[in-house]
Amino acid sequence: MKKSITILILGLLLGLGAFAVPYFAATSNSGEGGAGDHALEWLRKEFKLDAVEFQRVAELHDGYQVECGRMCARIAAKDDQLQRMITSTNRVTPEIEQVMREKADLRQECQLNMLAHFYKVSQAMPEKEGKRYLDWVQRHTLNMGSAMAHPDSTDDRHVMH
Amino acid sequence: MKPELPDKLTGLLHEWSLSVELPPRFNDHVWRQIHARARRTNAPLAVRFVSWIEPLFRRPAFAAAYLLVLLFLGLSTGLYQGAAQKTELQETGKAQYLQMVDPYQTAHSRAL
Repeated sequence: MKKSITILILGLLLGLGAFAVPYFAATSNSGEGGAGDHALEWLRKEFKLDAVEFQRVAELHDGYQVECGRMCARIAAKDDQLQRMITSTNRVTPEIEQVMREKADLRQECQLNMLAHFYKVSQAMPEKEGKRYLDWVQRHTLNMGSAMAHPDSTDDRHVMH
Repeated sequence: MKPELPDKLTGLLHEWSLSVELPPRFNDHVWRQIHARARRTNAPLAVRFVSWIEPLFRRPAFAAAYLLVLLFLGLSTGLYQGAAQKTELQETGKAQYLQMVDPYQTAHSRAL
């Protein structure tokens, strides 16, 4: 009786162990912690960065985040302002035109900042990976192709692998 | 209702006697088996389960096959789930990176 129970339990433990080893091997070092950790860990693996390159990219990323946060606040404030103006009238007023122009200027400023950051990050990577990064990030952020391409476009696979 | 036996068969059964000698304490043995079977039937499910698997695991081929099947199931499930989880983490990391560098994606996701 004892032998049967031992074999039964041993089999279950063996199955659990056999599940755990490949599962944790595949998912370990996937950037535990906050969103930033996940994002940077993905960047490190995807663009095959060594420790020095990753350090430089992380510094650039942290520096850019401060500016990006300020830009986010300005965009949100401008959106709120425009929303209030739009709902307070039933025609296009000169004030709405003005705020829309400011919004477009803000978008341009934001995109220029982004592009400058992307160039800096790509230069901190090995040349080939830097080009690949630049190609990928522009297509996903600067409205390059977003008006025409589906977000799940298979083109992405060519860039990412 | 008890079926009626033909007269001839009834007569034969009455004349019939055992020609072989029974082993010693044969009746006791039979009654013990009957009691043991009754005990197993009334036992808790776990005990009945163990009683059921015990003769199976006594066969080395069955025990080895059981271990191999669980090993295979564990390995294949772990590999599949691990690969799926890895892909999901990669997609999450990619999306988070884009949201972090593009204020318009952040504003968009916040609006949603």
